Amino acid sequence: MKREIDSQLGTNLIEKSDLQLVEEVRSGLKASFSELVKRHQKGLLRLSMRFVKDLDNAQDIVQESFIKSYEKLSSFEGRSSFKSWLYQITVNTARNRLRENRYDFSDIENVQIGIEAVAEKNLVHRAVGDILNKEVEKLPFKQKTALVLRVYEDLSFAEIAAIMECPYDTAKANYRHALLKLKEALDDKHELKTWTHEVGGFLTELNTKYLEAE
Amino acid sequence: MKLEQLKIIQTLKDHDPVELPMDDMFFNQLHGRIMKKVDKTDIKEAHRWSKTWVFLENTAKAQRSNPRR
Repeated sequence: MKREIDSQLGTNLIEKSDLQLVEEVRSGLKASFSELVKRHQKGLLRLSMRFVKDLDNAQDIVQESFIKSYEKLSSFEGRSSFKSWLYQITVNTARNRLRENRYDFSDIENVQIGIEAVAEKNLVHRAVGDILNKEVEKLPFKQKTALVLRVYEDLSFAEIAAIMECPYDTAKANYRHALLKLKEALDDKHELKTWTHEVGGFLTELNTKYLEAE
Repeated sequence: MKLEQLKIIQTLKDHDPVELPMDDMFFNQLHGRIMKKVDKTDIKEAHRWSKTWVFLENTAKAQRSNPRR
């Protein structure tokens, strides 16, 4: 009987907002939670993959986050969006997982940039991209979280602050420090600087792109 | 924002190391796996002190972030 009701309600679940679905779950409709999982599982998986690099671990984090959110649903007050709340749980779960497993998220060797001088511009970009990605892995957890949420998830600082459970200014400061560290890391790569200069300057294409945009 | 920072952000986006599986089957399986666990789970009742706790926590946080208050 309950399943029949669930399936009838399932037809218009897609049109409902997250908060409406949360209310339905609280009143006992698990089908509404199923819709919430469908909506957010991809985003949570992407976020988890930023902290643990393998898909299996990331899936475990997503699963654990949804279970925690389901258990704690009665304490969700709707002061932030459901998505922010879920992201907050996922970030905390990922951090705990990293601590428990002492997950090696700083598996960094000195970056090899001694590629042949005949390298083309796209290779330069790739090398810079690789360096940046490796430097991101070295960042402290809070700075990395702020950076990931801002750069890849396009979230506002207010949302990031809600997810990180910190004041707005702290979220912003973490993000700025992260960017500063990345910039310093690039500045330290003297070889890369001279090398990129030889093939047309540091990130010439990007420079042009942004100058055009301005 | 400085041009250099914008360049770093754009480079990070261009070289995003995370590649998600694209097929629906993968996400259907993940969804099934999650819902299987959810079926065995109950919503815990909020602790009677939880609201008070959240209130106190938020007040403390606000004071920590603005110590002059």
